[in-house]
Amino acid sequence: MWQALRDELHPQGFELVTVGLDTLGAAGCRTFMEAAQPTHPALLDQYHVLARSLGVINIPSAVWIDESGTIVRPAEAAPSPRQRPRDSAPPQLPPGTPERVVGMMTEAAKISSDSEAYHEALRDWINNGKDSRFALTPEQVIARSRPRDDNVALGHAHFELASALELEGHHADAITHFRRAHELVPDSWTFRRQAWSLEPGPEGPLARFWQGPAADNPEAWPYEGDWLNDIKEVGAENYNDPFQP
Amino acid sequence: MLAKTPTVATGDFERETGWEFKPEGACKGDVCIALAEKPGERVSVVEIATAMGLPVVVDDKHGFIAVGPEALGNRALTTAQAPELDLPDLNGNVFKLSSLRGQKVVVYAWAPY
Repeated sequence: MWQALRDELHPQGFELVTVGLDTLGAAGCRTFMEAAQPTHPALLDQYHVLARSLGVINIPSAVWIDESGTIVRPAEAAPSPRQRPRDSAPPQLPPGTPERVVGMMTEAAKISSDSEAYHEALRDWINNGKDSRFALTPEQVIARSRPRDDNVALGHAHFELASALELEGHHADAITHFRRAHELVPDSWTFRRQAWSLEPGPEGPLARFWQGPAADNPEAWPYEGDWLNDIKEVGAENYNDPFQP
Repeated sequence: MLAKTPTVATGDFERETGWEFKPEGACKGDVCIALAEKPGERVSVVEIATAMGLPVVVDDKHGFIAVGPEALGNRALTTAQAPELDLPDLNGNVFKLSSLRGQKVVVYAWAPY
């Protein structure tokens, strides 16, 4: 869907750069990237550079950058272009679907996004550039970027260290630093989802989406939170910040 | 940034952190952090990060030094000037975000989990 939008707008001087945030790099992202057959730069970010350098805390999110290399909108929720009216009813799942997955799909269906408003704004900016009312000033861009105090900054260092330890095979030590990153950067969904997705899940396509305790051995789960509990606590409707013109 | 040695080439530190050493100090966009002296060809990671107020985590067990980003102004962005991003594609070819100057760009973050 983003691919079609990119191909439509590319002749107007627009480029899309997709970045897969995953410690596992190509091993984690390849299937999805090859299926998408991108005509634009499609990159891998094993250490979540986009988190520390741009303030990305959730996916999907995006940053707009103008022709001179100036950010005109900081990281914000970036819903896909909508192809049909959203069906907010919980999906019909086959019998035998694990209870946790039913719960996750039910919550995921409640996640709201302002796709129409977002994409109207994006087209307005592409057509009107700096005169678009959606292109923010540098001061606004900085002020709207994520809050970051010394603890949050320290949490980013722990996350990067955890990623390196994971990649060198020191999984147990990585968990220690992922946990510290979660404490220090509590608003980052990507820091949590990344760590959760590295824990063993059930065999098959759900493995990395399970992101929580195993039904038969919940005590082994090494994290405070998990996807299903955390989203219930926050409220699926609050998962994405609403689009702010 | 991550280091596995106590000192690194100054250029590597600049590229990894996005801070450039100039006569007026360490600078990113139009913001500069004053330093007592301009670093030479190599910097002590812990010393320079501490002098700049950047957080440091030292992992003695595995020999890593992790330097976190700045928290100036209590915001993720210190400047609206886009950072350079050097990230690989599926074939390992590194792409530079700055190569797209002259176009409007959306940097889109996604994940397979």
